[in-house]
Amino acid sequence: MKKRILASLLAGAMALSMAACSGGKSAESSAPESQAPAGESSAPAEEGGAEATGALSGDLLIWSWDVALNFLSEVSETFMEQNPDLNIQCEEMGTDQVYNKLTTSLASGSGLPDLVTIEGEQMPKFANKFPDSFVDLTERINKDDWLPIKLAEATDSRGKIVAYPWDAAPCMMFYRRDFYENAGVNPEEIKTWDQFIEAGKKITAANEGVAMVPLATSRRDHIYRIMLMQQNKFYFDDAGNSCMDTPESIGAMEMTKKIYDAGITVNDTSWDDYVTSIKEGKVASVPDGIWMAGTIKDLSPEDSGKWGVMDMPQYSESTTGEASNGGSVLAIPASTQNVEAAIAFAEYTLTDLENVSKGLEVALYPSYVPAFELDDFNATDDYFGGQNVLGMFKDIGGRIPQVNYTENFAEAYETNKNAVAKVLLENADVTTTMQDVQKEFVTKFGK
Amino acid sequence: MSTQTATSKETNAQTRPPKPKAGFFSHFKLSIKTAPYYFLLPAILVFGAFMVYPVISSLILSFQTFDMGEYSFVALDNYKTLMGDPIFWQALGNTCIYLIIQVPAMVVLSLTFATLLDQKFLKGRTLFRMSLFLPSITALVAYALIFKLLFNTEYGMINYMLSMFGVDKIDWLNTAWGARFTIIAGITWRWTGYNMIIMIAGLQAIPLELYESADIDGAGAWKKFWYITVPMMKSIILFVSITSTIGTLQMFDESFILTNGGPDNATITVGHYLYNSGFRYFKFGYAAAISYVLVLVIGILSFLQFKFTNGGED
Repeated sequence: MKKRILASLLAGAMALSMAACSGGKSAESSAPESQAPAGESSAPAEEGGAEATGALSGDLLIWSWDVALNFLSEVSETFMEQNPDLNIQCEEMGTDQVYNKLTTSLASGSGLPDLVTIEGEQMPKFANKFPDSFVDLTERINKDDWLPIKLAEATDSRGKIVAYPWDAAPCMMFYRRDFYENAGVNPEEIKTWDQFIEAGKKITAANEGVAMVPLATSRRDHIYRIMLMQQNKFYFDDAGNSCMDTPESIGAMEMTKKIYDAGITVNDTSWDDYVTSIKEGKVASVPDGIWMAGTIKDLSPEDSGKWGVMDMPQYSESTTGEASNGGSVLAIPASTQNVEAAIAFAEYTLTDLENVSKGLEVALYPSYVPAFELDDFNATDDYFGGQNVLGMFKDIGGRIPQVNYTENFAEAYETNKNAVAKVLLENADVTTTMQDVQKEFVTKFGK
Repeated sequence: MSTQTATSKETNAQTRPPKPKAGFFSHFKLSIKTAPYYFLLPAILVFGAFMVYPVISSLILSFQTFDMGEYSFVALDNYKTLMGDPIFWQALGNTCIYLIIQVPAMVVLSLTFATLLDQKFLKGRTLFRMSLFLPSITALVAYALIFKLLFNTEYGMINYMLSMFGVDKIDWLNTAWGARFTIIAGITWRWTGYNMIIMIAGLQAIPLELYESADIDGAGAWKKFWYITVPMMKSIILFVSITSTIGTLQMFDESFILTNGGPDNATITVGHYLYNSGFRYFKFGYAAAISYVLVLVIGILSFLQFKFTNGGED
């Protein structure tokens, strides 16, 4: 509640400040234009961008990885054409490499890029451990324009927005239509995890060698975290206090154990294991972020039409929350000599509707709400049997609670991952385990 | 020789007169006395910048915490937290398990291989030595990744081979002892050859007369090994044990890549936990404290090993 009041105050302050600096660049000017009917919207947005461009000069250095990097370098080409005096250089690095280099650079204060992609869950750590190291965007960002969960990732403990939200990763359940049909299970009837377990028993019985769902026993805790977020809870509360021994948390861990004990899961010890079991048709359902849609397509193009998407089973009849897993933000280190160009480029990349549309082609799902009006979001996907996957994304995205990742997420995740292993592999008592986790959190994080 | 003394006298003669004036800088003037220091200077500078400075600054760091972008002095807090940190103790315990099982096994193995490969009658010795040594030049990351594939539960070659003998799939990387075994197998595979080469060098330094006289006395192969080779190799064995112990205590890559410390921290090493604390959790002071406790442990263990074996002397 407190947070909501603060948020609305901030939003008010921002609206005022935006009115004050009218004629600001791209994001603000293109926002109203994007309200225009879908389809026509890309043209005016481009004009909006053109107004701002042409005048920028200097150098920009970007650190990024994979698809995001390819996309950034593609967009930078057109941006440099519009701004001939601007030189953008994209440096490709692995995720860990970016973090290692970023950490040492932030600690020493030198050698930082002008823009960098950071996973959303990791952003609060960088922002809180190294305060004032990133350009404060609180005044520039209109909170209504971005998915709440992504804003939460990009906000530091003092309430400052220190990064542009980029790709969103709402979780949904991908499932194999053929396996479900063999068992006569109607996915639409699965509303809760309890029903999911029952369906799982039928599906594993009807399909030889197929597990209902991959559940890593020691590698991650994502099913637990999905259930926690469905109850609008997280590892931490809004003030950053640990809440691992709450009824919600214990309940989520118990349900995880229930799924495991039903004998309908398959373990994986690495990402490769995980995707191999998907590719080889050893799992009937995959709960994960929407980016998994792209991964599944790449893995097994020959399975087109066999896959479907459904809503995530809920923790109980009464819960309505949704979860997210992954996705990144785009931050501008405060050391940049070229704030104006960095901001303009970030906004051009993330809010120019034509670029958003291009990003969708490579599975970069925007967290920029006005872009949801794009025609792309009505398109059906043949791979998923003609379902409107992006429509589901839009719907689920808005229902993800604004959880507080805090600077301690990495360590908390590591600890809780081990709690999952204790409960599933060593058969430890759930309540005691979660109480121990809580104690460990409090000792380590001081709250 | 004579020319050198001549020049040194000359320079002495040259440097002597200005001495009474005795400026501070005259001490640094290039002379026969100062020249060695000038030659050593690059090495000293590098050593100072990359060894002495980090050692001191990390000691200071271990008394600080890093929060909200600032370091603050907290005296012994990091060490106190560390003493009560279950993961640290578990990491230390895991490292001890590796130490107790792996180091003796590897020392015995490498000494055995070294002795075998030092036999004169053996054909193609170089080839065997090479193939045993090769693992130690592979990159840590590369070999850890390959072991990860080999020991994969569903698709790994080890389980496939075991299945031919009717053994059920073993969940190597996902059970505490399975994962530990995988790691021990990995380090043994990688380091045995390296230590073997050191052992061979030691073997070749043993005077052949000893073996000859043993032959005359009628000693068998085992007696020669036990009463000549082993005692003569004592200092080498000590060296190998100490370096392997230190190496095991500093182990990082295997735990990081093969098992990611899991399941439930069953394989995490102190080095891995140090990395996590420093570079993933950004608790730099805490990580520095871990490194100093590690220094202490290594120091004590090396001292004990040295004491027990009388420094390799008889």
